[in-house]
Amino acid sequence: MHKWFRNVCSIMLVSVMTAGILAGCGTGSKNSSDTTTATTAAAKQGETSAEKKGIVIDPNKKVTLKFFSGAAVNKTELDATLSDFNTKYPNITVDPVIITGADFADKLKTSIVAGEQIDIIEVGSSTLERANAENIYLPIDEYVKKDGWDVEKEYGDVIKQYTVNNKLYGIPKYLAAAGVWYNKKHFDEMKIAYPTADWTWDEFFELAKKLTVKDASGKTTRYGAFHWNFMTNAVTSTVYEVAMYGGYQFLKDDGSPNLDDPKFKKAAEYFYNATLVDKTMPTLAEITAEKMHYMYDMYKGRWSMLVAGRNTAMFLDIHRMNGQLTAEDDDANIYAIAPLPRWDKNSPKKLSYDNSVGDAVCKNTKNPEEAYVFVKWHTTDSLVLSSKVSHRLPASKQLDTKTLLENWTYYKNKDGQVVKGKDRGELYTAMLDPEIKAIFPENVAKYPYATLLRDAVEKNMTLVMTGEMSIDDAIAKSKTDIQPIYEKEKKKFDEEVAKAAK
Amino acid sequence: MTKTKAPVMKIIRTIIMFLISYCMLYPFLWMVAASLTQERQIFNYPFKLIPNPLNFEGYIDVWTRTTLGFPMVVYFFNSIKITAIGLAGSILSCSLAAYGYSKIKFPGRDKIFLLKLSTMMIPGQVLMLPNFLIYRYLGLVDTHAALWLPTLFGATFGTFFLRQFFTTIPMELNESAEIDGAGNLRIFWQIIMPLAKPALATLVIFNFMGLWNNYESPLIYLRSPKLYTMPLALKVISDDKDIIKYAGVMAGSVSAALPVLLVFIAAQKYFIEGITVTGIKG
Amino acid sequence: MIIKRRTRTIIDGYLFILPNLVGFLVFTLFSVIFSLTISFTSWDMIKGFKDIEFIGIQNYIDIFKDKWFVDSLMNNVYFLLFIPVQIFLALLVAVVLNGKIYGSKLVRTIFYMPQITNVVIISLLWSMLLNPSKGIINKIIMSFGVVNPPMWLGSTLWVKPAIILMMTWGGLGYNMILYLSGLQSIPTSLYEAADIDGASAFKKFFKITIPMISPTTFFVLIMSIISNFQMWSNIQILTNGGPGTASTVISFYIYSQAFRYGKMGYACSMSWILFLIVLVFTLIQWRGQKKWVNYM
Repeated sequence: MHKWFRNVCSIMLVSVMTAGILAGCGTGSKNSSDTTTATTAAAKQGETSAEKKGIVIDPNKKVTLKFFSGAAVNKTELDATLSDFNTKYPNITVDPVIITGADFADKLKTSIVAGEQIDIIEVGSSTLERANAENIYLPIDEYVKKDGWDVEKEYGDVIKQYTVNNKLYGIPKYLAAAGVWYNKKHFDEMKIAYPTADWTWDEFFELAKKLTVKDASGKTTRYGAFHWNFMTNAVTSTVYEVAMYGGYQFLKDDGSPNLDDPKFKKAAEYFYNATLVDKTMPTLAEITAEKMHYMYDMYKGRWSMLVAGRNTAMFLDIHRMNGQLTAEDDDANIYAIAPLPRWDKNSPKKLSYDNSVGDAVCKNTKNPEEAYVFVKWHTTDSLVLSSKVSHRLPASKQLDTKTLLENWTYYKNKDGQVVKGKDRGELYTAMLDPEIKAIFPENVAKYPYATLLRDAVEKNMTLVMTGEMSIDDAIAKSKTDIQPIYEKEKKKFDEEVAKAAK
Repeated sequence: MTKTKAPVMKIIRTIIMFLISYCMLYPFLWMVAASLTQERQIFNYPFKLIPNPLNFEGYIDVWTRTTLGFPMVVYFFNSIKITAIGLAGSILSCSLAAYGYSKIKFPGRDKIFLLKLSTMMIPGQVLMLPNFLIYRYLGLVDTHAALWLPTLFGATFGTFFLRQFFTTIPMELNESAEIDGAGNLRIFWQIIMPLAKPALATLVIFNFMGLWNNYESPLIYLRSPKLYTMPLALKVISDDKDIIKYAGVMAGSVSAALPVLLVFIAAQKYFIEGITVTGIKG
Repeated sequence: MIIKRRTRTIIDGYLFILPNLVGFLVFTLFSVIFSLTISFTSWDMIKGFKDIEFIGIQNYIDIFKDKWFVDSLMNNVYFLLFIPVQIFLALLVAVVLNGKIYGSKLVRTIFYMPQITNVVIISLLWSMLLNPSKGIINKIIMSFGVVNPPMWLGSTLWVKPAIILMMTWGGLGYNMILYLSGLQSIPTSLYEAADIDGASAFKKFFKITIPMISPTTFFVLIMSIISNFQMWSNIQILTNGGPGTASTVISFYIYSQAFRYGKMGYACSMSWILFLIVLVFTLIQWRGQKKWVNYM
């Protein structure tokens, strides 16, 4: 017993000491590297700051920026491109912090509240915290103006996705553009014609029924369709996204809630029927229980149609390398992209709800100019420089598409080498179809409180998709739930607008 | 007559218990087997508990390749660091306080102790949010200190546990030492602590499990992946739908479970003693 | 001289409990007061203190209109109903183990293993075992000819039983060990007397073991109830409270409202309701114990 206790104690002691030494080493080495780069920084900065007449970075100020991102691929990208940034700005070190998983937004918010050092945040048009924008992000209008950067010319309408109360809170980097993936083999088996740009959402859900395969007991063995947004359990936005193809807006032009619009109900019915009545789409619960993945499970033949990013076309080489996509299926080219359906026969064709993802400067930053300079580089130059190893559909209209298209044929294999992938001309043509017109929930962007309303509606809509509440009840309940929030927030919004007008 | 009957009953009982034990153990067996099985075979049925071929890809994946930017070694060492500092801190602070509450008479002592004891009733959620704000104010969010600092204040449970043990040590020891001119600190360190070894051992094991397995505090306080501890890293890795590999997740799980399991098997006696002592005196 | 010594003892005493006292004042007392104050406000964590508004008992009124809270509470109650079954199982196992078997140490270790394993590992493991189409549990059920096995975590009907199954597996060892020690303190003379009277094993179990073990049962019951109301990490990992409200529990709902939506005021008031509930349950047990708990 005594001997044992002594052993435990000594193990404890040793580990405390090891921990101490480790901690000591960590800080020690960091300090020494800091000083060495600082000297070279001053020497080199002279030339580059001369070219940039807008934002001038103090070359002697040693700065470390923390870049918070929710995607591991950002690390791959920055590994390949940060050296370029460091030659341009030797005094700025960028430290990427990757937080993957479902908790990214929660963790980010609590970190900001905690006053941690966060300089740049990866942010998407659908994840931008509009209701709390001024508490999370730093407006960058001033820097853009000083820099003389014509962002409207560079990004067109997409830049509007990052504007809240007339302040610019982010720069788009790449598009998460929508499309419908379909499995040609399944269509052929059933002798169904491939979808064309003429199709409507009614036809989409009808097709899903035809494509669904059930066993003798009525249990679905292969689903007709899947919607990627269901993987994130986001019901309300999925529903209003589909209704948007009929011109629906979650908020009316005057900023009031628009839940009475029959299009919202119709879109909700589509998903309710597909998941719970016809069982042509997996339910939210099945997705969680089986840990379904929109693309990987499509490769396994679990569904025939998929609403998801058409830019996924650029990941096929990686998926093939990782074994999710079999070489056999890939060589047979069984996966194809169709434009999204239209609302009805009278609505325009080839609309597409195109999200974007970009960077924002965090409110907490102590070095806004350095952060801005990084954001600009990261959303433009870095995107091109890394295009062989990380494939992104650029949001900017001014990048060299030819180089990008050429570079996208390469990918980084498991051993870290850049190798040539398969020729995917057909998919890339569908992906880059110039006739596609991007749509976006403009009023959601215009009225920052929209996300608060959406979260309140979501509480009820989730219950619809588990069969606990009828659609009518959910809409009625949502209307009463959001009314006080709307009134309070709208008042605040109007006051802000009035204040800004003065 | 009873003598011939007993072994038969004993054998029957043994068989029943081993059957139930197998069911209890099966998830663990499955975990170990899955961590060594080829990705494609993991969901095969009937599942082979002895994988053929043996596949170490999962272990290689989590231990050498970088996940979230760092290999698992980093998370493993973070866990060791927190556990070690936390253990030292909690043992010291709990025993100091327990000594104060049991061996020194001063006004208000028992009232303070009772008040402290009654806080065990308050659900963690009540304190979780304000505590988070305090750590935020102290600038400790996203540092390891947020995880080990609380151990320095003497957890109620550990203090209570040791206090109960200290009261069984006769006061005469204190008195005679005082006559010899020893101060409280010396009595504490040279007389009481050596006598309390069995109780301390139990508490070490208890806290080891608690610190090593702590998931909720890291979830709330840590941000940067380089600070993650094993449980949090495992959760995040398993969440990442783009890199999720079952064999890898299971290999990570085995790696995280093994240290506690080894400690438990080695120190089972103290551990079970500890539970029964607290269980009865609750 | 004597006074001096007395003062020194008092100082010594306070010095020894100082860390403990500081921890209590800062992290418990302050937090309790703070949380109580915040529970009467509309404070949004992200907005900071500038938008804070005192709203009286509005939060406490809203709580009971919130379907998610009420459903969470009902789920906690659902889980509570199975505690007696879990406790009885643990007692049975302990009795069999106590009746001496071969390899009892090994069996004891195996039963206790889930208790020392991390909640993340347990949850990951069970979500794979319970996977509706690929998991081993459904494969076994299907091999018995069941065509439509439960969807487990993917079904409003089966998600709670699935979690109970997991919790029973996880908690059996702890309760069993508590019972084992309780059983050892029952005087063997009682059983010997019963043997002379010719009592059956069945009768001995109900007439001697159960009454004599009641203090342990009481302790196990209280602990189970408290941990029931406090659990959330396994829910967070397994189901995130879904499908719908089917598996959300109070603690998890508080966590998500506070840290996901930043509604600190609302979350604090829910924690206080939770505190009251736990308090009431414990008081009822405390009162009730006189009727059925035998202290020797």
